[in-house]
Amino acid sequence: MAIEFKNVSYVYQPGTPFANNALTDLNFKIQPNSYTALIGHTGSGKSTILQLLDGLIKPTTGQIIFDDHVVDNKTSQKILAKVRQHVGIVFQFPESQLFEQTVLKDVMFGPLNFGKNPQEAQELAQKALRLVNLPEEHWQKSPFDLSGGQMRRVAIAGVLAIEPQVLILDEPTAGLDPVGRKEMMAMFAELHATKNLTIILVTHQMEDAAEYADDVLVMANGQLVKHATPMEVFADITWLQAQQLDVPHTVLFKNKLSAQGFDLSANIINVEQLALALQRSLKKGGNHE
Amino acid sequence: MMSNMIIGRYVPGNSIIHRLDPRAKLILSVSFIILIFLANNWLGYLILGLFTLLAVASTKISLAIYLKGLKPVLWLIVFTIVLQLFFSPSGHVYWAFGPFTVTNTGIINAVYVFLRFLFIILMSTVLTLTTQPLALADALEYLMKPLLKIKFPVYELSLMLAIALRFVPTLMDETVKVMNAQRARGVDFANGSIVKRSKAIVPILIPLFVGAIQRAIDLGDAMEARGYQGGENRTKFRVLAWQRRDSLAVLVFMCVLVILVGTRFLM
Repeated sequence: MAIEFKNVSYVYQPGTPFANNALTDLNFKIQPNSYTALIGHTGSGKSTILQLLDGLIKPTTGQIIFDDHVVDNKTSQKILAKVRQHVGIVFQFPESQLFEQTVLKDVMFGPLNFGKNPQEAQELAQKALRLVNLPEEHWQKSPFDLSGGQMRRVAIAGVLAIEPQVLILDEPTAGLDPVGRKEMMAMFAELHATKNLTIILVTHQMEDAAEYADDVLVMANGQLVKHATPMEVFADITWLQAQQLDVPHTVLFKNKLSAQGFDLSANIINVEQLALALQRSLKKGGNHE
Repeated sequence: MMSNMIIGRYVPGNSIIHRLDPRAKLILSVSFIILIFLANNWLGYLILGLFTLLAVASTKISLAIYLKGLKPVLWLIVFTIVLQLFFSPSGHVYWAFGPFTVTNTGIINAVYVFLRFLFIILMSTVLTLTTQPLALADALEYLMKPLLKIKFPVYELSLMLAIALRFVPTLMDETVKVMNAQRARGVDFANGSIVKRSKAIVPILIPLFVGAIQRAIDLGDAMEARGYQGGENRTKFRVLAWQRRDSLAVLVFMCVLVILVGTRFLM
């Protein structure tokens, strides 16, 4: 599913002393089956974009075009509900949304709400739980008896069970240990590859954006300041730092190596590319002595 | 939805009322409610009205916010006025139909009741709009101190109050977050029958309770780790200071009181 933002602005609590301009005149398009990273410092408007993407709020001005639905200020709740069915959103610390008596029931909750009968819902739930690799022995347990990482898997399964075409991830690995983080990100990459999902990832981990995304949106103060490939975004270190963003370790390391005389091409942002380039450079028996 | 709530919200500012001691504001606004019942004639109401307007104007907060604060209690005001208007037993009858009568005393009483409501709500809104909740809790603690004599747990209660107030915004944020998460999973809070809508509350309440209990456990541990042992013998960081302007505010209030009592004899 393609999503297009046309001149979208959003104001919180308009017409009160608490009015707050969160987004100003956003224009961008998210291609079907793409993996988009949304980055920007805290308070730059990322969360507001996420809520707009899932039809949880309506733009104050402008339009958001989801394939065949157009959402603007006057769109009815019914159409928003339809949009929501195609867009799954995994909020930050999604384990705080669990509430059912068993894991399976909690995952069935979404499909049931979107009109599936209990039989179908259960099948979808089982499929989703397998996708997130939660062992079957936990399915009849209370979600509150699981570990934090397992709870997060259940919550993510709950979103996947509605079979969304677009999956939005808001810092899905926050608070996980390194292994958990890697597993989680690999799982999303696989879903992206095998299920033709469009993924939108909000992250402060520049390494993740460099590794997985094929499109990057950079936000600052409610405005879109750059929309480009990871290669273009992460190559410019001074610009990134001016936006209060981190630079991926790989880019920093590559620059250190280049300073030492290694002959490396400029187009390196992830570990694999760096390793290959190093290999090539060493084979050439370069001038790094 | 929560954004429409004006009651209990604080609007930062630096007006004379903002800078008053919270104890002064608390005592005065409670006494004001008693004061209102001293007025029994139009002159008294006129004076009270001027006093209320003076207080509202000196907060330098726009009138629109005060009017918004009136909205939630509008039905109560209308209900009371209608009762007063149609069910007055005495006075000169203008219009009668079955049990309904409109008399001159009925009309006057309705106007008085309306004004009373207006003044009380405006005054309490002045208090909450200009006072930070924590300052209010401090004021309450100070004013409850005499209760220590009857073994009332004043310190514990004020700590509870301070923590509760501190977590109101956090819990509100949490509520919005959980609601969004469940809406994203297809829950519809706005439509459907009352039964359906009440059922939709369960997926919000359970995560909120679990979160609140977990937060309480964590906070308790953190407080103990920092050496907290209980109410007695603790020092205070936020110290309230009574200034000349606070005494002045009490003085103005006293003047109004005296004038009001005066009008009772006069009229």
